[in-house]
Amino acid sequence: MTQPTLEDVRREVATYLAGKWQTSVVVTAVEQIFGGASRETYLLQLDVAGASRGVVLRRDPPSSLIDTERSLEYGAYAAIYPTSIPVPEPLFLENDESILGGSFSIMGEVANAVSDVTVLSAEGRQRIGEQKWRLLGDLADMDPIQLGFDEFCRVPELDRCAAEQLSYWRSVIETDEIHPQPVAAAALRWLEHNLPAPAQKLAVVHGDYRSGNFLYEPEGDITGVLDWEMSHLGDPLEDLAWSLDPLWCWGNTELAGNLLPHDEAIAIWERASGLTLNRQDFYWWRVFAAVKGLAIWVSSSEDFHNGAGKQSILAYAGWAMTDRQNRILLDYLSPLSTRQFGGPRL
Amino acid sequence: MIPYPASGLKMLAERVLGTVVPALGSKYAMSDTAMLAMLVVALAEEMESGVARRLEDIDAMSRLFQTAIEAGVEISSAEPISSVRQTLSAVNEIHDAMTEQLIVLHAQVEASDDTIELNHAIWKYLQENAERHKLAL
Repeated sequence: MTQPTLEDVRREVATYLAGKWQTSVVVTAVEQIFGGASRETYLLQLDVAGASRGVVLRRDPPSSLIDTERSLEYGAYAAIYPTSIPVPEPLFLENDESILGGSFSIMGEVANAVSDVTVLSAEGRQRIGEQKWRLLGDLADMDPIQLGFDEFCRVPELDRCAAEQLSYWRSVIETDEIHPQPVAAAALRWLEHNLPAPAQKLAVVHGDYRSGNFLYEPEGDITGVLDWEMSHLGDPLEDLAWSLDPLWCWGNTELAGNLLPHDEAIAIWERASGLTLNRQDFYWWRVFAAVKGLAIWVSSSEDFHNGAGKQSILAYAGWAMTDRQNRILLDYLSPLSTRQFGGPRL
Repeated sequence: MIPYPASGLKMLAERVLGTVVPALGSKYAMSDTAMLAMLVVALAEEMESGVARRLEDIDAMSRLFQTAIEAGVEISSAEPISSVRQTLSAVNEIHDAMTEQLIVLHAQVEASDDTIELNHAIWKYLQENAERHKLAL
């Protein structure tokens, strides 16, 4: 099976879960969720021996925007689930590709929740924004070894966190670029010559912590932090910088993540993490975040043109996001910049 | 009829958005198809203006290389554009080759205090290039 139909998903998941739970399982509804560019994502409603519940299936597509292993993502969910950071309940990880044509995981549904922050009122933006950066600060404060991340993630030295990430994403750009990238090349040179001080501490880095990657109840709290497929151990400033990238402002550059003023978001994170931000090091991580974004969009473009992935989201990301991320980098690095993105300053 | 491909594609995309998308059964198919239609509109723009934008880039890069030569910076000479057929793929090819050369030149000039003006001129070009190719998506 290369690409399962919704009927395939309905049938195979019912059989799979009935075997796991040793009871009758009927899939009463199934729909594919748009926008999951790294994984195919399906929402299924189940009748489990007479009781209703929802689950989310994440399946590895033949080509994805983010090339990571399903087991890493599942391991992260399993490690974080017992903590104060809300994530969907991890249920099963299955690496037998004969069932759905690719490995997959199944999580509990986070019910009655949404991810779009552009619909929030001013009061809602404040409430969700405070929670967003407090949770990120809490994550930075946790001991990753105690959480068990060292069982499935490499443990870098504190003084190698930045260099290792830079090396990885540089290789993605160099391997996947279809056209030469002069802005990325200039940014990579700058990053290479201006490496930051060693990380203050080793932390779990979510890797894609941004508005759109968490669920919240419209009148309540954040109820699920999603998409841990790029998680790793490293410098906690990496996540903070990524969360503040202007790309995730959705057009409202005054508000980080379209939620809070940048300085307020940083202050909340500092209080929760117990860490103090060094502006010069943080500037490096801001530039790095934009380069990492560019690498992902360059890679998605390569997947669309040369790989097996022909999803429209890959083409969109490879074109429109590359365009915007290039302009963000120019805004940060060009000596002629007018700082239209409200970017960082040294 | 001599077709006008760019406007034809835009009309087809509008039809997909206006009539096909609302008739689709699933939210996934609606979102996917709507994004495909938007990409078709962007491709129509590219078909209409892609060659002209790249030729503008190529002219600007040629001027930068000339400035570099006059300033005594050593660079290999770029292929003359006049010999190239002006299809999008042919122009792309020379655009890529000149951009590679520009990356090398930029790394050279940013390392020296003697070539600050040229460094700024390259950044100016990169900004103008980004604006020229800015997508309305």
